[in-house]
Amino acid sequence: MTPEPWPAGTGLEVFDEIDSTQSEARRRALVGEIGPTWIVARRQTAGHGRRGRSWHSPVGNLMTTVLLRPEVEIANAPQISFVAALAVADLFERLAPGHCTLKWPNDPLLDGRKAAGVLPDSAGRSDGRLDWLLVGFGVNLATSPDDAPYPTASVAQITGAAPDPDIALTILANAWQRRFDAWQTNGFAAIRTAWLARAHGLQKDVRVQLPNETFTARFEGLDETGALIARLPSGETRLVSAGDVFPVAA
Amino acid sequence: MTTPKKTSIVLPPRMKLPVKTSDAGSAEGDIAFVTTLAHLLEQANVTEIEVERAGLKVRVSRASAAAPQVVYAPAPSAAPAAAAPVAAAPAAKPAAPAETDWAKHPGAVTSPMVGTAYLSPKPGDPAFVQVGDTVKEDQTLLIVEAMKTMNPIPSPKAGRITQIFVVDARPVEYGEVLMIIE
Repeated sequence: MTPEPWPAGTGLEVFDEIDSTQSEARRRALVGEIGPTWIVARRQTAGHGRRGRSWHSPVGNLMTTVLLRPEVEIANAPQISFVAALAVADLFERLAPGHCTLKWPNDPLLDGRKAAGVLPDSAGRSDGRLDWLLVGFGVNLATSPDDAPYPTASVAQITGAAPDPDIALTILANAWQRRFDAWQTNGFAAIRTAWLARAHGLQKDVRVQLPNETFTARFEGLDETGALIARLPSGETRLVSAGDVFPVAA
Repeated sequence: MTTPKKTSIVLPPRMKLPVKTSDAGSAEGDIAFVTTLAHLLEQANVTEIEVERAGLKVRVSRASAAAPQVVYAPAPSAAPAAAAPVAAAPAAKPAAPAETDWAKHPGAVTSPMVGTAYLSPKPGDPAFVQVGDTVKEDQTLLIVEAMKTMNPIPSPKAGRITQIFVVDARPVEYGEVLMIIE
């Protein structure tokens, strides 16, 4: 594996133990840190995911958050989920080639099981743009939780050896920068195409779970905003921007 | 899914349904009502709630032993992007303000995307803002989730919150009026 240099002009802060890299990055953003800075922890005491759900954060996995202040419109911020998921896919392609797919919208899978989590966070300004952006990454390099409500995997399970988190971080930071720059320069269309090339369950049936209804539909693609295009048995199309989507067991 | 157990529950005294009885039957009222029931399901830790009210019978249940899902998907794409759900409700109540009035209001805060509205940072936290609060420019008013990205919506100006139209964990459309700041 060819070692890559750390991305130029990018900060790095390493903690042996911290509550969570996301919380640390947020504290820094709130006092005006400009970034780009990667916060990384060997161990987290309060790792969390979306809406406060806990995140498995043992030594040996990669727990990191990048802080930056890009010129991004709030309306386009949801696309960051796809940009970040692709960066993790690039990392997995280096560590365990041929095993990674992406579940809508931002779950990187190894052999169909969740192997990483992506957690975007931001603050907006009154001019309709982001003030700051955080993207948290939790990557199962060494181990994965066996008590999660979904199947999980780690790189070590696939390859038989846990990768060095420092090497994984450098690969991820470079991949993120490439994907983010491509998005900023060329827009969402190319990101959407790259994401669809790795889509898990494309053209297959998925179960879409909403608070008051669940339906099964064919996953036909992404619209120009990243919403999942779901084709119902009746032929009607629905767009899913928020909600949980699961593969239907064959 | 196994057959869920039906459970009768009593509303905690401090919990009020954010839906007026007069709203029952409108699409807006029904969505808010179902969303409220979904929250009750979570807070009361029961598997299913069934309610019959003003000709509307609603049953919400947990899909699994895991936390109940209170996320939402947008309305079918056939609806025009700029039209808020309330505009599509049949026979709006005379007392209900017309959607277009609020959309033209100089203090209207509209949603920049299709997604799910959250009024607090995470479940159990206090709401970002309430009616009557004074807010500063750029202050976060609510979150709109889309593509699993939580997007804080900043106040476009300093002022006072006079109306909040959105209900926690319910869908919002692009351009839908979320709040009024005067």
